[in-house]
Amino acid sequence: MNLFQLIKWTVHSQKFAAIPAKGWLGNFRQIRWQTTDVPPREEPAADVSTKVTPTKQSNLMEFFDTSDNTRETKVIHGRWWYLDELRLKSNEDLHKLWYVLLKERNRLLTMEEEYRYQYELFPSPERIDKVEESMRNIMTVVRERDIAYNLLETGKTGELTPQIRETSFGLLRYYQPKERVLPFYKNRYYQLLWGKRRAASWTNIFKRRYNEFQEHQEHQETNRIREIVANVIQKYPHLRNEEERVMEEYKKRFDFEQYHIPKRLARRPKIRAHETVWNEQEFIDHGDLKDLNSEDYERLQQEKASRMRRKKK
Amino acid sequence: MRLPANLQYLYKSMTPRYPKWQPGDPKHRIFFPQFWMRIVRPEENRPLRPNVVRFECHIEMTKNDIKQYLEKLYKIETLDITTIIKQGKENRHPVSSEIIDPDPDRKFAYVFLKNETFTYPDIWRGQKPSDELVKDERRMQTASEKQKATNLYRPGLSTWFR
Repeated sequence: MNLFQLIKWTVHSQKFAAIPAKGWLGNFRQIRWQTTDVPPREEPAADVSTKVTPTKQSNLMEFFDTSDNTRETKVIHGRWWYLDELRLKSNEDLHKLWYVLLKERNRLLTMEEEYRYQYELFPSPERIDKVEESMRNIMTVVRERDIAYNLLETGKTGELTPQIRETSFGLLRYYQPKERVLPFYKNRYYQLLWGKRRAASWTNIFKRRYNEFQEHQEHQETNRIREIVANVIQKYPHLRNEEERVMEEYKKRFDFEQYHIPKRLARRPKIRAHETVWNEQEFIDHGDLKDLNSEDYERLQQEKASRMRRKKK
Repeated sequence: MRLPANLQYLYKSMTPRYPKWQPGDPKHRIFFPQFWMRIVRPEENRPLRPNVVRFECHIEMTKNDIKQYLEKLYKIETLDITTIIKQGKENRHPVSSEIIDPDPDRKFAYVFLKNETFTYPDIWRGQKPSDELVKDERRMQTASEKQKATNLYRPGLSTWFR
């Protein structure tokens, strides 16, 4: 792309319009590389040799996008590098590609800031994401190779994986292995927390109670979820064979969000067993299963009540 | 917004730690640096000297890091570097006054160039993408004004009388 632009600036288009493409591909060698990043503002002259601006501006211009894309609302670009493609590359190529991507990312970030400063919309911001994605893929490929090498040499992956270890107080705790200045046998604080000393046996009762408390909490939570799942299955009977799966789904969900039944739903009457549809075919045939969550539930209830009143009269 | 590590941008996430000092003081080389830098305009009413560039960079970069980064990757020679960390704004809830969605802290570096001057370049060359939009808007406005002039509300006059 850049090359074509370069040719456009340097070659007078009107003069060479009649010459076919093959003809001026022969002149390709004669065009000198342009050393500046900014194209000249004035119209390129007819003579090719005077076309090139000789002064080199500065390496700081690598931070800026000096192509003509600045005024466009959409910039044409490719996809990111896939993992399978990067796995075929040598380490040296990956190293080179990393720096290309790094410079590209810096350029995009500067341009993003500039657009923000000028109150303009940054065209196709997904370019940054694509560069990031390919950088991430390079990192994973390098890590894979590192692990393979370590496994061959030492039989271990060499990854610093976090683990859950028992502290000297008898409780389990998250432990992230990391480099330390002192060796562990000299490190007083490490010895106090992670060392060999263990709490005396009279603290077992506290450990036991702590575990019991936690188990009780888990039990309460599962019971709460089980109740909810029972309601769900009553309402959607075609799920009754997949109760465990529904339980898991709800457990996943309630780890993140606290379950709170809104009052308008909590006040509503429960469906009794004879009101539910037990057969799946029946469920499909029946069609209008009473949905407590529907928006016009209250309206239907009122109509029903009025009907009942009329009957009584 | 805080995201899990696999979804966070690389340039916003933390870099791996440097190795600890070892006897013999071997020099460490980073083969895949995750640092980023970008040139930003100087602050308002704070003009800079011609040989100074204002950068924003990864918050964990030291002065030496910045120097090496510019020298090795961009071949830019530096005299001196000063850095400052600007605290992000604490957005507070208007009622409960708790901090919600605070902006991250940012590090800015002022790089003093050697034998070189820098002014922020005009990459727009007198044209901005919004210029055409503004023209279009004006055109629309004039058209609508003409339309309005024909459809003025004149009580007592029938619609066929124009």
